[in-house]
Amino acid sequence: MPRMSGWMLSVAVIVTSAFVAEAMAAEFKLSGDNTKIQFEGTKEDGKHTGSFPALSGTFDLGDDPTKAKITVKIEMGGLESDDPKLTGHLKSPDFFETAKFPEAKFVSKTIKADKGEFKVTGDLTMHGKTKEISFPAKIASKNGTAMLSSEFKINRSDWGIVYGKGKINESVKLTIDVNAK
Amino acid sequence: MPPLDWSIVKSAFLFLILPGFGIAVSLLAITAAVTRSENHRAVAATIAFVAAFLVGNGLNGLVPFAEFESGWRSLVWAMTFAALAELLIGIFFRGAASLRSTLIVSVMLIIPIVWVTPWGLIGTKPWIPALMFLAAILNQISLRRLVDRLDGHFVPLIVAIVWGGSATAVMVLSHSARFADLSILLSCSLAGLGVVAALVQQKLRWIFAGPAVFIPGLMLSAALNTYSDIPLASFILVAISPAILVFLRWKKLADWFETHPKSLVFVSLIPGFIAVGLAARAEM
Repeated sequence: MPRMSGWMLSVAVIVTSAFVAEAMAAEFKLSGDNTKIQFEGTKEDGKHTGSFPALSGTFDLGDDPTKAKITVKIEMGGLESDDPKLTGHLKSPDFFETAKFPEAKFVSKTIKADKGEFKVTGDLTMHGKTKEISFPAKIASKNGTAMLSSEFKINRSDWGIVYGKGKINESVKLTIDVNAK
Repeated sequence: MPPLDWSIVKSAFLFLILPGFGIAVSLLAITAAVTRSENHRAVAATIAFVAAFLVGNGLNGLVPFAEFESGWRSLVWAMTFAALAELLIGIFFRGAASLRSTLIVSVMLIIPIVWVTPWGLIGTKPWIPALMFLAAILNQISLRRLVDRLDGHFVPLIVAIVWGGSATAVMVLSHSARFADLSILLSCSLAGLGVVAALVQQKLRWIFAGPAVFIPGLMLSAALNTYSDIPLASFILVAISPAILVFLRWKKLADWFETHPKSLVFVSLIPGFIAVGLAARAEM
């Protein structure tokens, strides 16, 4: 009987631990309301800004951000910019070609602690091409709110968006701000 | 309206206009100087036109050469194939008019359906490839007829300015820089041939299948991808612009226009003017 109790106790501990771990890694739903993804493109004599408000995804974040998991899907047809004419141009085959590539996606693979911040690495699929990117981010979970903020640059030609080489800079700044409850 | 960016103008001149115009002029001018054979000059004209277009496309990275997919990514190869097919059919079947016409019609049937129309639309919107075929064949017939009936030396230049100009204007208004550049490149390549043809008094008969396929294909691609408010009628009017001259098949009308060539230029301008007007009204 004592041996049986020990066995049952072990099972109970394992099951409970699993539930606790599950409960600690809460899943936050991401949407355009709580997640802002903005971009800034530059050229020799100016710059333009825009954003991707039509998005959805999940942010699995517990006490340990290095175990977090981020998945974001962006409806590219919903992109906005500081000029309505430019918005149409960005959706055309010159840039995102949203009729053919209506969705972009980011799926995180690893999150590592890095100099007081975190380094998020994952696959970014856009314009029909997938490429691994890494970016620095501040990640925190406070009062039931998952927070992530980041600012980094990507090279648009890595995703085959090459039009306007020499006229429009290759490097595009992305700013991400998540406040999900 | 933003101030004119001279660096963009300079870049367009150096990498788009100059290669398109320069290569076409040089190759045809050299051939015209060394031979009087109509066949040699026809071969040179097609090679000059295709080379000018391909070099300009490569220098500007407009359409990827290595992506074989129906739609705008196939426009360059579709145009090259049509231009070369027209030349070869013209040379090898010169004496067989009905066979030559059948082969040209076949080329104009296959290219718009297999290459230029996105495959997804063939089953769901069959009127699109049908319209593409109709536009390509009517354009080709009309332009050939124009060269044969009238003082054909100036036809390539007029086509480059009138048709290429209206296509470029609609592309600019539809906010597609890539398609506008393609349109400018086609106009410059054709204008290069046109200048030499006008100077050496040469009728270029076998250079119209390429543009006859390319411009409707470009208009279709632009219409499918634009996020502007330009009405579909603008794209269609430009696509079938030369087809308005199909009435030149009727001898009486053709004879009248032969004595009033300026009227013909005005008539050929009508669809382009309407198209650009509709586009400008929607976007300005």
